[in-house]
Amino acid sequence: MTLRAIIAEDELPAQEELQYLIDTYSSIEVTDRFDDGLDVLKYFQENTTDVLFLDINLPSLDGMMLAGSLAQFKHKPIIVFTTAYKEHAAKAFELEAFDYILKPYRKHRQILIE
Amino acid sequence: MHSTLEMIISIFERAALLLIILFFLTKIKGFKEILQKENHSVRELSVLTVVFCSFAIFGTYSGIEVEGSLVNIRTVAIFSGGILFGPWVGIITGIVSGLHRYLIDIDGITSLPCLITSVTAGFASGFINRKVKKHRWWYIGIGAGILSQTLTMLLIIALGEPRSQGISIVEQIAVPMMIGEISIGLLILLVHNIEGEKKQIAAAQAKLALDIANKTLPYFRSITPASLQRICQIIKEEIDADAVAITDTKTVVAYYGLGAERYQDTSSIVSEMTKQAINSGQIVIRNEVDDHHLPQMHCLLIVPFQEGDEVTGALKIYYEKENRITDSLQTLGIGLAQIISNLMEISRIEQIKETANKAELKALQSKINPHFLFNSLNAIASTTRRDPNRARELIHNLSGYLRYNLELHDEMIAIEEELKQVRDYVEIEKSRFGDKLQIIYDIDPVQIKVPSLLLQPLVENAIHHGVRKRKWQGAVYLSVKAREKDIRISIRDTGVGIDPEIVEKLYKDEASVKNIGLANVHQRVRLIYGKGLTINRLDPGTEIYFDIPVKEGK
Repeated sequence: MTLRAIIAEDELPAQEELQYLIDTYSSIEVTDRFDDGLDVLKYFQENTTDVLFLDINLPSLDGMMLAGSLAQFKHKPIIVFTTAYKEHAAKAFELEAFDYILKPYRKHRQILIE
Repeated sequence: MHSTLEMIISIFERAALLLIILFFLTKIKGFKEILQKENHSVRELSVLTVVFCSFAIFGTYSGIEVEGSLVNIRTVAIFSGGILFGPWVGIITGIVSGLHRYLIDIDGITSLPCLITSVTAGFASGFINRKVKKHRWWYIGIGAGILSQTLTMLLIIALGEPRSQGISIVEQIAVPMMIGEISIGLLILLVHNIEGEKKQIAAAQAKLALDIANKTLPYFRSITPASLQRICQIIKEEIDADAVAITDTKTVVAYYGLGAERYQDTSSIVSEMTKQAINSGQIVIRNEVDDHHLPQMHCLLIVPFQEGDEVTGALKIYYEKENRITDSLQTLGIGLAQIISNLMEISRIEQIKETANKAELKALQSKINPHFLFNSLNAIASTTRRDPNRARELIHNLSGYLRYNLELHDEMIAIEEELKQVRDYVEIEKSRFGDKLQIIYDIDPVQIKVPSLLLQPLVENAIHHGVRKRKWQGAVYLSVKAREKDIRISIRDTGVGIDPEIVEKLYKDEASVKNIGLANVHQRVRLIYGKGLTINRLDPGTEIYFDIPVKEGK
């Protein structure tokens, strides 16, 4: 079964870059892309997905707070934080992140997900 | 038979002689110093007692005989000695000269009264010295002299045998003797003048030291060999020395004046004499030097200076001629050394502070935000596939941005350079946020220098804390406007609007670490232009501006 994923990222080139890598090197299907934290939360109130690629810096509701909210959900997605700088990574694991990937993206990280 | 007038004149002649002798004594350096002193040693008091005893005995011998009595100035000497130099001088002079007067003419009709009044005068003068304020001495002295002569006259009448002769004597000598006492005032004033002269010298020296301190002050701001040499030059000119040097504990760091060519090399080792002064912390005075390595110098004063308990160097003053180091120069030298060491210490502390601030500031200013760097690279990676040419441009933008941050630059930089960096930065941010971010420039062509790395943090602030926090499109307006008396630089955004609490804290210099970038800009602007950033909350967004004053004629 193909894993389904959504991307939460407020930088358009970063969204595209991540989608490109996922499409090229994995069999994950990206179904939606968001650039606002609150929109992601709304999405999970009505939908569910397998993987959430989550940027930490997001307007309205930042990645950390979003992950905290999602932890209360019955059907939690696997959260993969996408961050430019490692200082956020430790905190991400406290929030039961599955993994984190550093920008600029490199393909080997994605392979882990498969 | 002498007329009263003749006697008055003669008595003043004698008093004048005393004044002249005293005047010449003041020209003897050692004696002058004794006269100028407030407190005297036993030895000095003995010298003074001998001098005034001689004066008093001279007074007796130079007396004009009137019917077996002497019109004389003995009490003038006793009173002036006692009033000026205290009971010991007064009482001993009184007893010695009184006894002398008595013994040379035991049977004389006025001998006993003279003995009694001389001794009384000694005690009275000591009393005046102790109890009367100095500025009143001269006229109180005259009054006391006249009173003591009155006592003499009464005693002559009371004790004189036969009484008719006593009365006859008193009739003739009373007036000249009493008027003669005026000389007490003159003697006291003469000595006071010498003391006054000392105070004037002290005042003049204090003024000189202050003048030197004032003139050298600017050169202490940043201490370099050149500034120290300038300080030496000022001191040399002010005190009319032939050369002045400042040393640290090992080398002569500055030298100005005669023989300067020997000290062109700034690392000259200090002389043995200086070493001695530095090691002991004591002043070295050499008035007749012939073994110094500067053969033309024959006179030098070395004053070590201290910071805390530690000797850190010395001030050296040279003269070509011998015996130029007087007491007053020595005092001045000590004062100057103190001023120099104080100012050097202050300057050093300031410099340390400044360097620390600068280093801290520099680190803060040029710190490259890792988020920005990696996100930019990520955006460029993405762009490479879609639009390789655009990606190439972005790499140039990023290089330009990094170079500007990494290369050390001066505090002030031409505004176009600073704006170029802002544009580089903005291009990269636009590539990250795309249409969401709009930047509108409104730049007047102005030729000014601005503090470096000042605008970019403000623009960054507007983008990340303003525009990016909102979901929809936002704009940042950067304007440089030439106005009547200043140039206003303003950064306005249509973002979420700054938290008023942050603004309040910023104005109070209590900004948190999160806002350190903005706080740093605020402080620098305030430091350089007197007034910091002005921050206004708009609806929507935030406006931050500051004004650069433009000098007339520019």
